[in-house]
Amino acid sequence: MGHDVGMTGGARVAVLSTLATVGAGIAILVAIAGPARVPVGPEALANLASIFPLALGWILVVRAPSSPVGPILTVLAAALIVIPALDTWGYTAFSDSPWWGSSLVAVVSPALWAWQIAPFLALLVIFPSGLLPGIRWRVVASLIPVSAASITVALLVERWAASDALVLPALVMLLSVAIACLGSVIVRYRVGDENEKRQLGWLILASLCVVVLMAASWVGVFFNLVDSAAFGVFLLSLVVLVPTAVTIAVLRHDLFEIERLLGDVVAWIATTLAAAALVAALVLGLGALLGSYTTAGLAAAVFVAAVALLPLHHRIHRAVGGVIDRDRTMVRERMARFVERVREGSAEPEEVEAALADAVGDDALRVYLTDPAGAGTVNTRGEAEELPERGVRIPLTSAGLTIAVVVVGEGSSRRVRRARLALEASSLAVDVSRLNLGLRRALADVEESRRRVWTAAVHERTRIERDLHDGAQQQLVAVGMKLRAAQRQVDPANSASADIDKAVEMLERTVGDLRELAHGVRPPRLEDGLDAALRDLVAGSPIPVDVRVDAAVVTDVITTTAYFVVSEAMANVLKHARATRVGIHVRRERDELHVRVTDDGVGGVPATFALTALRDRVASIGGSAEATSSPGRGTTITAVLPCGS
Amino acid sequence: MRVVVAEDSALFREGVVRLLEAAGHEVVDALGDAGILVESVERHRPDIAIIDVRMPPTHTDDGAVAATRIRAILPHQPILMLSQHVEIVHSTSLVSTGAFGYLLKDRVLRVDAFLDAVVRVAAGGSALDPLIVGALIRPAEAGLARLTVRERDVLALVAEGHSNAAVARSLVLAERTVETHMRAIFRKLLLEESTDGHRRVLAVLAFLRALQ
Repeated sequence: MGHDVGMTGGARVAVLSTLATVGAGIAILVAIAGPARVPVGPEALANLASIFPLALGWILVVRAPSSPVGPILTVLAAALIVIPALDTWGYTAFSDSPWWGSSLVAVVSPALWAWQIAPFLALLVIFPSGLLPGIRWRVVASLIPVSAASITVALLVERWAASDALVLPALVMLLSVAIACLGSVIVRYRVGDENEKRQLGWLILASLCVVVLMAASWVGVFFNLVDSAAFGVFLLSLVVLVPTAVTIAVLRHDLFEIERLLGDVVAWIATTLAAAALVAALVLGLGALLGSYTTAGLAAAVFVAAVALLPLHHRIHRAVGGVIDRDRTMVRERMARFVERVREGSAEPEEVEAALADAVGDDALRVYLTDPAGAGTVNTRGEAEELPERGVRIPLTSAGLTIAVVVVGEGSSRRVRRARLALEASSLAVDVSRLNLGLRRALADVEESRRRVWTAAVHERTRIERDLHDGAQQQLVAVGMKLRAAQRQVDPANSASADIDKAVEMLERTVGDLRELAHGVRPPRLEDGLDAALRDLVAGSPIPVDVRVDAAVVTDVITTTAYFVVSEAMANVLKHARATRVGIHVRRERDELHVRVTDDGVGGVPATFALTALRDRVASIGGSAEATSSPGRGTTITAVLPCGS
Repeated sequence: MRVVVAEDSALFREGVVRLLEAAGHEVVDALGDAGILVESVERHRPDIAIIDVRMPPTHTDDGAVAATRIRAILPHQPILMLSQHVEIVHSTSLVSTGAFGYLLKDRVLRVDAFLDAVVRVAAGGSALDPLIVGALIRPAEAGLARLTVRERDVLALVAEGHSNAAVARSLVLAERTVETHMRAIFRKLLLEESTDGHRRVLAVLAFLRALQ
């Protein structure tokens, strides 16, 4: 194949590996079925399964030619079958028709098993980019063949020199290199970018499964639960799981939420180990305490472990998630913090859109709430807004109802998953902001109706005041004049004249009362403007009052409200403040009328004092009122009334 | 005296007209709309115009507006404003001029006092309702705070337009005592003293208005 100019180095390796695999496979079949008739166990056939990593390797060579993983997989496949093939070759030495050189091969081949592991270790060190994690890792990489070779040498020395002195150091070395290679994966996972992490996640997941299966096989064999065939299953899983995982990692690392999968697996393994350790510790502890190992003690230990299992798992899961599934954990925690702040009141639920956009990393993220009042969708500000055509829609349901839809920009399915996760974590805030919307609307309705009621009341007061003046009062005066006219017909000495005088006096008093009444309903001086009405109001004050009104004409309702604010504030000052001077200042600021009443009295009046009526009146036209005061410093009552425009 | 009466309530208008006629005055025109008032006064040149503040056409302050316009044309025209309540924004410019009165409508029932006020205003004097004077004389004001209670009573009556003799009668005092009070008031308010009754009232009113 050397003449094939267009072929890459990786492809060349794959071709050579394939030739080796096919050759080895044929050799094994010939040895079994041929004249040598080598007796074989199921393991040898299992070795044929290396066809699988070979195929995967080729898929990667074709689909991802720049990745070194494909060629390594083919080498791995070749190593998996070539060494058993050599074993088989060696076996023929004991058959009726031994192959050429089989006696030598029979000696050498059992010393080669470490070379089956070497490609795995190489894969660990260079996965997924083909580069080492750092310059210092070159030592580890070069030690892989060295340690494999040292195993071979040690075993050969044992065979020929009958000395096993080298075996243990070689094994330790191989084990150390293997641990270092695993360490390289973890180092890479910690510093790698998102893609690298996801690819490594697949490898780690598969490796963990292998380790767990291996441990399970050992335990099974140790307790005589299964026979050594369990190792076959383990080997098979190694041959199938790891290549499958790395192939997915290279081609479709976005296939599943690998971090989550990995996090779950690690968390469960850790939980299981912790629970087992707990049971063991309790059994031993109780046994030591009671002096004997009883069934009851075992049951108690298991019970405690079972009770502890879920909380334990919860904690471990969180801890593991923080390391392995950092991104996902961070999204969830960020949203949980936001929801917590909403609960505390330091964040508004309406800020959920910004919080989601921030957590998901998508500025274009939009939250659309299902209108609580009916059909359609509204944005978080409560304005009706249609769902956009573009983007991916993620619905949030509660009690079978879609309460909100989040739209994220089209892009990676990863972002969509993250958005879904964030949305689930913040569903409370979303639901609250939707309910708030309904409340806000209801409140706005109430405010509007209150404003209408007060406006109507002001107009009604004006009407009543006029009716009193122009109707009843005028009628009474007219009646009085008639009486006076009648009086002229009567002799002044007549007692009837004195009676008429009395009647007219009563009328006068009634007219005066009516005038007072009308004044209370609506001060007629308001006709002359707020300034005149306020000066009239304070005319009878026993203490000096400075009145300043710097306000252009405002509506009747605003004028009347401002008048009553001052009137009530003045009443408060005269009643409680023991002031020597009062200042009344009314000024217009853009669309607001500011009314301020200050005194130099004793102050210290609680902010809530007797202002309820005043507040109600001001609130009814959408304004606000407050009293500020400190002991000995007087009191200031301020009202801000919106004038509209 | 020749009188023009402007009042939209027919009942009240007729009452005032009968009252004036019974007192021997001649009502040359009685109308119920401020729109034609200026024209009527110009034509009749009455000794006094009695005008309701609130009248058609707008039922707000048409009477007061008409009074101001009359004064613009005839600066010395005596005018007596009537109102159901104290609203002086349109008449404050007239309050401290001579030949001007402002009374609440029910003062009409004190027939003699009312007719007296009519005559006083027609003669160039003033007649202000005690309620208006009360609003003007604010005890909290610095200048007025220096007055004694009795001096304040005297000041109120003078501001209403009464002569020293009338004040003395009203308060059951000797006229000389009232004069003594008046000198004290003028001194305390730093006003220039005057023996002329009308000018004296006007000085007091101008002082009070300046406080507003």
